[in-house]
Amino acid sequence: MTGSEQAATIDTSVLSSGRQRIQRSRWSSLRRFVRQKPLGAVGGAIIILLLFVALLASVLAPYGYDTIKVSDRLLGMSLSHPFGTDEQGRDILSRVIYGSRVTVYIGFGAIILSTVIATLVGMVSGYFTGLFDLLIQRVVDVWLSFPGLIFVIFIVSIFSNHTPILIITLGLLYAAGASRIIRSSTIAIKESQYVESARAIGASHLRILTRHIFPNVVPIVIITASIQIGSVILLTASLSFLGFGPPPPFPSWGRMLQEARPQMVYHPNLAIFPGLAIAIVVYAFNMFGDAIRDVMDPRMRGAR
Amino acid sequence: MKAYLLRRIALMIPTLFGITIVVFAAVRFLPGDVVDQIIGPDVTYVNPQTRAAIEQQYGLDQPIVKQYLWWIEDLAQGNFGRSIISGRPVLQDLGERIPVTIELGLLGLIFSLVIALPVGVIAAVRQDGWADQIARSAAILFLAIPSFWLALIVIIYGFNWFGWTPPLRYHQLWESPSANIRILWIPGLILGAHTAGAIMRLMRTTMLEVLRQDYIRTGWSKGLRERTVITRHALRNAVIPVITIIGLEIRGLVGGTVILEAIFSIPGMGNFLLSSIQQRDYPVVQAVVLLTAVIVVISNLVVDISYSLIDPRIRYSS
Repeated sequence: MTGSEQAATIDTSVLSSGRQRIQRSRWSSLRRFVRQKPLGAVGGAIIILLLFVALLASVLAPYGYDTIKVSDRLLGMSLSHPFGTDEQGRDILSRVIYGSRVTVYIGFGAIILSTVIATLVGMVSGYFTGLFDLLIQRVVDVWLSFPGLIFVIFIVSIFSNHTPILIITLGLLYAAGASRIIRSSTIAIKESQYVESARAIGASHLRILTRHIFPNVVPIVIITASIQIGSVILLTASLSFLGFGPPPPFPSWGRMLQEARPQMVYHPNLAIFPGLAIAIVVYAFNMFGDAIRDVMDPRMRGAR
Repeated sequence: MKAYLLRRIALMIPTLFGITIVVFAAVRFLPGDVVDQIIGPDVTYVNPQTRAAIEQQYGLDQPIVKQYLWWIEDLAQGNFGRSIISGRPVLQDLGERIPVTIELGLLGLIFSLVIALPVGVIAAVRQDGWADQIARSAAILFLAIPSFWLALIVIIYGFNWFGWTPPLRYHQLWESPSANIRILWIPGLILGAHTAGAIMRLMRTTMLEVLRQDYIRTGWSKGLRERTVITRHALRNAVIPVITIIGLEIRGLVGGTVILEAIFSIPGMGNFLLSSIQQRDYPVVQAVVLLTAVIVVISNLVVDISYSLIDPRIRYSS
């Protein structure tokens, strides 16, 4: 490439509109992410696929999730039923496809709720230290003492196993741990000079929290959420397996595994595919979360 | 050390009270009132006099704070109420089940440590070698595989390939230790798999960090043997953050016992919890939730104490 050509390319890039430039830099940073974190990129691709499958389940599934055909019960794998059929003749592939919806609803619902609560509680508790912080932290201590699975089973058995209750319970459960992380980074940021100077020019607490602390906490919030979501999905599947997930007939992967138990020794396909779906999705979220963490905060590498 | 211990135990007291408040409050939200629960679902009509008599007998006509304080007083005396189904004191029904769950949880923890610590160290020492690659992939795999699926796979292929089925009759540890271990080792191993993945990854990372420190280079240049450098100098410091994660994993291990007890029909607290929920036997449910949380709190205390024993900096900082 000659000098004049190079100058010409630089020229056009300067002339191109700002939006285009931003888009181009987004693409290149995406390409860099894929090159540096191939596993994270694979994870991200699987997550997009999961969202796609959940959204278009009714189009993608060859059969209904609850289409019972007794004459077709317990068929092995074949072209018409790639994953076989269950005890009631329902197509397992279709049920796995529809089951992605429960995973997406509860997984994302709980993590969004947990992140919002954790950010609020963590920031406020870390910013206003003293008695308030002390009290909040004792509440968090209590919350962190209940084994997650047992606590959710307890709450669900008292209220009900409908999806909103599950999302709220899981969201509250995961908020406790996340708020600790956000609190400690708030405490660190609070000591920085720009917060001190903001205080010196008379900025209000609200302004300091929203304008100075929040933007700096965001990476930690994203990292925490992306690392927790795999665990939320695993816990949701465990709940469904034990019969505390969303009620039938809508399929969930965990409940499919429970329903497989009486026949599974002679028909392993009943148990293999729903479990494989859980493992692949959790794997994808874990890998994606790890990559996000490494890219956003290299100091936290490997810490989980 | 003494001051640290006292402070640590003092912090436990509000936590324990908080746990009792949450459990007490949650049970008050049960559909129907407490009288209906005491009578059971089979009785549809209770005349007002009987209802009032029952309310008086159980102190339900008293203010809620008073009820809570009575309940705490009972708990402090080891009185967890009576099971609605069996009519016996809850603690009597739970008596034989508590050690089963603790044993299963401990087995899971021991398996995960015995596997994860050496593998993590070897993976770090031979960074990017084949052992490291295999160990890392396995850890990632174990973190993604649900324990209940792993258990089902073990049952399916254990039977199809080896003709193995999980034993139906349970033997207590004190009845027959060998029969007991034969029943519990497979569920324990499955329970520990997830934790092993988490611990192995962290062990490897912290070991890699420590191995880059100056004092390790000093050790090498003094001509110390590899084993001495790794075990005496590096491991002692690398294991400190790992202890933190053990504390965090205990909650998961205790929760995980419920699943494995259910799959392998092990008569522990988790299985009892599930059947009690089905029978709406809430005094038992309440007791199990309370006890598992207390187990977590106590385990965390043990972890923190061992932490301060290994790392003197914790002891002396305030």
